[in-house]
Amino acid sequence: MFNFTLIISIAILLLAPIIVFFLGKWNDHAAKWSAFIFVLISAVFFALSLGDVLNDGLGNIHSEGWNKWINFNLGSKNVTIGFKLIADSLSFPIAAIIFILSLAAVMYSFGYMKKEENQGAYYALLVLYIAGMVGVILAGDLVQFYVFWELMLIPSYFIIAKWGSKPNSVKIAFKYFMFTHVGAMAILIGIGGLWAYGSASGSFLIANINMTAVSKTVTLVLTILFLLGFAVKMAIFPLHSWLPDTHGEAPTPISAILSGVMIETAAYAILRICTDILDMGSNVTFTWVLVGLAVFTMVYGGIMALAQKDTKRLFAYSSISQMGYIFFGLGTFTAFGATGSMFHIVSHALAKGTLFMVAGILMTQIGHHKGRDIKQLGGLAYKMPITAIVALIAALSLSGLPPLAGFMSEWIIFEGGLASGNPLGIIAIFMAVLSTALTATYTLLFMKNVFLGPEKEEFKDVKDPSPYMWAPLVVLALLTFIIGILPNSVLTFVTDAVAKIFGIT
Amino acid sequence: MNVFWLLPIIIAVAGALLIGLLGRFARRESQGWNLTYAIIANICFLAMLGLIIAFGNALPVKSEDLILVLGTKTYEKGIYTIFRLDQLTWWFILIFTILGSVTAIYSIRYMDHDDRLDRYYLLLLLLVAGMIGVVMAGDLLTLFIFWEGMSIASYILVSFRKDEPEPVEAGVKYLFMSAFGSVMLLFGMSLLYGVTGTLNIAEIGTTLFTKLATNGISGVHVIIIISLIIGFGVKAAIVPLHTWLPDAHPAAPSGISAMLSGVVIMTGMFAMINTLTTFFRPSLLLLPNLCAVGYVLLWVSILTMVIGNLMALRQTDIKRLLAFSTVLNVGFILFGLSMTLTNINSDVVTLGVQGSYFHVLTHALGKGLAFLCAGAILYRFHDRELDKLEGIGHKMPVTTFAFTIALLSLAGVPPLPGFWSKLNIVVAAVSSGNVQYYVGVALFLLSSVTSVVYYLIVLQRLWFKPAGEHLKDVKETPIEIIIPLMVIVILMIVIGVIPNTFQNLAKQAATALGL
Amino acid sequence: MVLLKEAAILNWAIPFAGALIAPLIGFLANKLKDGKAKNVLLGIRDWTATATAFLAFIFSILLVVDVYTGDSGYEWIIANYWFMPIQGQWAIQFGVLIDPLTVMIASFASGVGMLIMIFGVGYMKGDKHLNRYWFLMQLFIGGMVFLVMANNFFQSFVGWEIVGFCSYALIGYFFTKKNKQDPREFTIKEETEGDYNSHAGLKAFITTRIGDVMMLTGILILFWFAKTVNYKELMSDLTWITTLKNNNVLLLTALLIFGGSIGKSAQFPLQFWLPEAMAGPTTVSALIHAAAMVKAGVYMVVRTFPMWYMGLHELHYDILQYYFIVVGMIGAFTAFMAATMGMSATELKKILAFSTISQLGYMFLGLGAGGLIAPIDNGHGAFEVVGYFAGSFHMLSHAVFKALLFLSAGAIIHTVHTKYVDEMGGLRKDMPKVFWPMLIGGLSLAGVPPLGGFFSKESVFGVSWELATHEHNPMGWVFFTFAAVAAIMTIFYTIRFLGWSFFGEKTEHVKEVEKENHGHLHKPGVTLWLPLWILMAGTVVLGFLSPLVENFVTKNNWFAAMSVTVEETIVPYGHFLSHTFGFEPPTFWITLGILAAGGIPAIFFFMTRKWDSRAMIEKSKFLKGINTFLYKRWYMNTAIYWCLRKFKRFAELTYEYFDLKVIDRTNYVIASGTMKTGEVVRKTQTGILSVNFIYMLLGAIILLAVLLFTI
Repeated sequence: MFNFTLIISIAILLLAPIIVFFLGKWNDHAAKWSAFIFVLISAVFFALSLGDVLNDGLGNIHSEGWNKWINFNLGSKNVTIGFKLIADSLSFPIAAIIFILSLAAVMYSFGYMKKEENQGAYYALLVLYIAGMVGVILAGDLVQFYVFWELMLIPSYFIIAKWGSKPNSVKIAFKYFMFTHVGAMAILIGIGGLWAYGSASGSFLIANINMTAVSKTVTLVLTILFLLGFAVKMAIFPLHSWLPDTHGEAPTPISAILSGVMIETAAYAILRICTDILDMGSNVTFTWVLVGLAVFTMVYGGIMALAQKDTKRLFAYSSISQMGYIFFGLGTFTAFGATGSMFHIVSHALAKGTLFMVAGILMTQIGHHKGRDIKQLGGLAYKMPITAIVALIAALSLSGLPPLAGFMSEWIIFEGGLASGNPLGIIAIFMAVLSTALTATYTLLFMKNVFLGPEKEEFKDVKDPSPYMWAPLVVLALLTFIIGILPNSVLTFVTDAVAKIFGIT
Repeated sequence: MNVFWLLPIIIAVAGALLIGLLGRFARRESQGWNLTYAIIANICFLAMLGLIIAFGNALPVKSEDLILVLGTKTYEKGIYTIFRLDQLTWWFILIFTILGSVTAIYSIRYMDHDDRLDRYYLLLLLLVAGMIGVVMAGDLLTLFIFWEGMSIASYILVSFRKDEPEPVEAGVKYLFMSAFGSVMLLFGMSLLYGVTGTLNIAEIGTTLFTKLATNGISGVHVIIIISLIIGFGVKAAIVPLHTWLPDAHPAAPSGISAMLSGVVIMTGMFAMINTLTTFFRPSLLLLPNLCAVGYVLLWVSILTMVIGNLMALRQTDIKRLLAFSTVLNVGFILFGLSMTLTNINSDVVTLGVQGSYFHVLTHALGKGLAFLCAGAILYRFHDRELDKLEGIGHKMPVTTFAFTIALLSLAGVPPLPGFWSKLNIVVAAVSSGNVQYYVGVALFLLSSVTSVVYYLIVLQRLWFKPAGEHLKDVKETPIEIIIPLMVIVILMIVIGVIPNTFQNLAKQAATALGL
Repeated sequence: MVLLKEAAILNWAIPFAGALIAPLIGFLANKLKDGKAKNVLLGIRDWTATATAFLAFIFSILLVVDVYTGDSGYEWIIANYWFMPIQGQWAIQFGVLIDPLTVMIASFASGVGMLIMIFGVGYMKGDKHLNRYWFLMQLFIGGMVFLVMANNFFQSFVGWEIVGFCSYALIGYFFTKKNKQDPREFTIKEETEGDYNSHAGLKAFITTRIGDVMMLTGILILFWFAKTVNYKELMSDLTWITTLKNNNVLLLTALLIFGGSIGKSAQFPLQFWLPEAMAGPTTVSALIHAAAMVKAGVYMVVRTFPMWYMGLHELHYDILQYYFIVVGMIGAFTAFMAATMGMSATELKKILAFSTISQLGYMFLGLGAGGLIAPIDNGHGAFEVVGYFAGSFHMLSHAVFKALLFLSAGAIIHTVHTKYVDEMGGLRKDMPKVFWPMLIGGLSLAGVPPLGGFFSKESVFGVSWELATHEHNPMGWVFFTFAAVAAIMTIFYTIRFLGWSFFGEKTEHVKEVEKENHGHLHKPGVTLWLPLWILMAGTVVLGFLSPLVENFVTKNNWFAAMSVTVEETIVPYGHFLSHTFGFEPPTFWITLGILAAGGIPAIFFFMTRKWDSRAMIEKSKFLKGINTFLYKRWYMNTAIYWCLRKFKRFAELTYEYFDLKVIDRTNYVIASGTMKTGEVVRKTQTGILSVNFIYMLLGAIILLAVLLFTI
């Protein structure tokens, strides 16, 4: 067929917000359905690229776009910024999960945002936000990557500030913006550095950057800069304090996207930049510092989650803990760990997306404040069985219970801890596995305190929400199960690409 | 001498004269007359803009074409006037005329409550003529004459509303401070003439090079450098010479604020770097110590950013906040330009200079738009206090949207133009291989982040606070004002999505600096 | 002979499929209006579930025939399935393993499971949420069979966790039930335990999860160094043990994998979840204790036994003897500890729970002791591994009699509406159909010959005796002492609960129940008593079959078949009998002595009621103290809860004072610091012209100075 599916996909996402916004001026329903349909069409175009990805061979890069978006000569060096969209077997599954979760979130918004004002603006910003995330994953050029990276930030900032939980939403959105932006600045310097030292032709294309001949000090400094930026996004301790606030106060569909896929884009970027280009594993001490940080983050996030009394904050801390796993896999600098991390992006997106949406359902069905206070809930399972079941599946997947998706990815991540060949790996993976028990504790405590236990008189009229709100969850829960049974559906893609990055053929 | 190349200046001056004559002739205030002045001014601006764009294809112009000999002295020595028009000057003139045109359109409706508009447009035209003259000047005398012309026009424009105390005080302050700068400038120029015996900027460069090569550097040269930095620096508002700016810019009518903040200060920057580079860059290889000038400028630029930021953080007056943000951006621009006087690889210097020149454009658009939006809000609700403007986004969504675009661009959020220029500067600094610039770039970005704080605070208060009772009668800005705003918004989005053309123009400008 | 190799898949796939079908039928039925059609459909649902377990049992039995007549250690790889990250060698192939051990456990799990499900049809009648019940029960049995049929650690772990999840969900089956106190904040009191069901389920899951953490870590380490988790591949090439040894993680790995069994089989120190697991329906308790959950832990130790045994005795890595000592000691201590607790508990099911913990301890004791005994050259050119059989056989016989005991207990509780033994009494005449099976089951538990429990427990004694006398290993005496003391207590508490419930006079409570039921006790229906009698028959027959079973387990020894270093082992038929009656007379007589020591006083206390135990306890302060100590389960449960409470508090304090007050606060300090600086710097902008000029001049002077000095 035609070879511009990715470009069309992104173009739809970038242009749709305008139409959605103006449709929203006319009618809320038009806005929400047009948003859903645009994302769906975009997803279909994206899915069409699967053929190209497979044709080019797993692990090879299928790219579309222009090498020269911005170009000027400068003495001996050209400055060339490209606009390239890359769908290889690594970015494909991750972008796919972004589309899946985004579609779920858009549909979920139908019910969740029903009573809000300015829906046209909401859906327009949401689509733009999705464009940002997809763009980050598919970006084949560093500057383009940065552009989409910030494009991810702006719409989400406005959504959180405008539609987040009152009265703190503005403050919290501000905090979110500042943290992420500071991180982005570090990334910007890093991008400059990559260009200055690694790009012989002056191109910002990721494919044209080669850092092998550059001194170790420079690469280490650049790695640290990039990691600083990405660690903020991933909320690695001690840069995590924006996350509980943001994920807790954002409108729930956005929380689901934030926690489910946005923060993982940083993990993907670490693999693409720090691992692939900068070869951060060459400094063993450094990677073990990262592993230590990751392990600490996962345990710390888990303990903090245990202390929470608010559902959304609980899941937010749980996300911090889960980011620890992903960071752990990347920090081990092994093909195993990286594969596991990429896989965990998918499984965590499904599970955490579901859990946040469950929290949102509790908020809409019970009350905005009451529905998130764990102390006041209880015994809801017979009242809202569908919600309870999907919540349980997601909770179990998160706590690494086979045969759900979460276990499969964690298994590979943990194996990565050993694959590094460092005796510390055993301690690290023990702590990591221990934190899955911690995860099980807080997720199942959540289940017990919210859904199980004696029924309460005050909740006797509570029901499952409208299908718009539960159908996306059921789809996500089913995917969790299917990917758990058939992990190869993701792994066949990821494995080859990661192997290529690590130079294993 | 081909007068054709001077047409922009001539049109501006002729338009100014025409308006002045009409003003004398009319002798009374009326809507009709005011509109007439506005239309004449607008026609002049659009003609200038069209000419400048048309010139773009014919660049660079040979310097012989632009020499205007005054008096009977021979060609080689003496007093004569040189203009030059190459990619560099053209780039600046382009920016001036774009912003000037938009301001002129904007002023039609914005100034409709004022009288004496003949003087307003006359001065506006003279201001632009002065700026064009400054950048086109090829010798120090011409430069100084236009410089003063521009300055005088701007003094009067700042205190245009002479019945109110604030503009008058600000104008006076501006006048005194600038006069001090001019004195320093004159002092430096006379020293230069004494040292080299010529006023031709290019000739001074070559002469100084031979003299420095044989005699080495001496105190006189240092004083010349200091004089030039301070003389032009006052206009460019580098710290600590910026103190007039936060008073003058907010006090002026918003269109003039946009001009002052967006472009007028850039003439100072342009002249400072242009002269310093032409005079001293050739000698850098011979006299490594001379690099200190560049590094001093670097740290001055960082100081400028930091002070500008810290001042802006707690401002509650929206225009004053924007004024301090201008100080910050002066720092950004000087950061890239300071490379010209260091021993960094000239490729990298070109990149840095290009970034700075590009930032001149993006800042002019962003800050111009921001001031124009602030003016639009003022037009409907006569208060600059942020506290009272809270929630105005609900009442004036289009204006606030334009304001948002402006501030996000200033904050360097991609893909708006402000990002591309900052990226250029950052990449240059990171490529420089110089530790001071590494540290500098970190501070550069830290300043950028800090600036985001107050931009966001403004946006938040405008958008997300509930609109107060006192705002209930506020309506959306009239369409005549929205049009110029939207022109800039569209221009910014176009530049943001396809920055290539503009970056290449900036690059040509940087190359034309002759490094 | 291979009858049907697909049986090895069908015996777990059918329950899995049934887990989906039965709720579906129920779902459709619930859509109907009340009436005959609905009842018929619901009946179909219940019996579908039972039928799947029955089919699983049939297929497992087919496999038993296969193994008994054909090759053992037969592995069947189905497909190149699961996943293959990075390189081919890391692929984990999906497959099933058919050997004596797997088919033995699969058959008793599905067989006993089937009987429990038949019992459940009557027992659970009328419950509104039976869809969930049948779904989980079938998943439970399917998961257990899946676990044992797996040919690799990974797959076993999947089954392991399915079983764990099902027990979590089934223990908390009546999750809305609540007694007095809300244990939300871990402040549960001793008496209410087991009543707040969702809490009990959570407790079971999390506690076993701690074991799983160790096990998963162990498997991961093993996988990394051995490059495979396939049982057969692991046994066929033992170089990986050397690799582990060279990396100093051999003992660690072995113990970590054993950690999973500690949690799953409720051994010390993770034993405290099992008594609370009583909260679920009795059928669930029966399934957990007899067939599925806790046996998984023992299975894992039996499964890994040959690996570590080879490491110790073939490769002579002496460090591994600590592994067996730990296994044996944990088993011995648990057997003793749980038995003491069983003597003072008053809830019928709780007593049985303690007895389960105790009996599981015996299994570990047998395996631990067996591992320390070097292979014996039996004179026929082959080697004999003593003790391997003891643990696995006790697992089998325990499955039968413990299911029997639990189901009987369920029938009693169902009838008299109390779970406390001291509120029962004199039920012998009213419930003969329950009395006889329960009596036989109890005697088997106590180890009275010639029932199944006697032979299996005796073989455990035999192993530790052999360790002590033939190997001269002092650990043997330790094991033996613990086992003997625990056995005395076992028969004591067995007779105690039998006596309390069936002998003596009827209590007030029973009389009240009688009154409510028009003067007589409700008679259990056929689905309630028939499974009991089948199981009773099983435990009797098992006693006589024990030599056959030993032959089955050891003759076609998968252990031998799978190892290349030990040649084909042929244990002479009838060795077991000679082992017990012929060559090792002391253990037999000692066993009888033990039974007498514990049994005789118990008969006086609880059956004939000649002596009044409660009065004795009331009188003596010492006895009272002991009783309370035991009743409170050595205060271990309290201690755990204390730790959990403190941990939660720690989490909350860390959150409050570290995360919010330090980490988060820092951001705000930085932010407000910047703002304050701005406020200060802003003051310098005075707007006074002369001040401005001063700045300007200062700036000029500084610039001049700097340039003059540097240029």
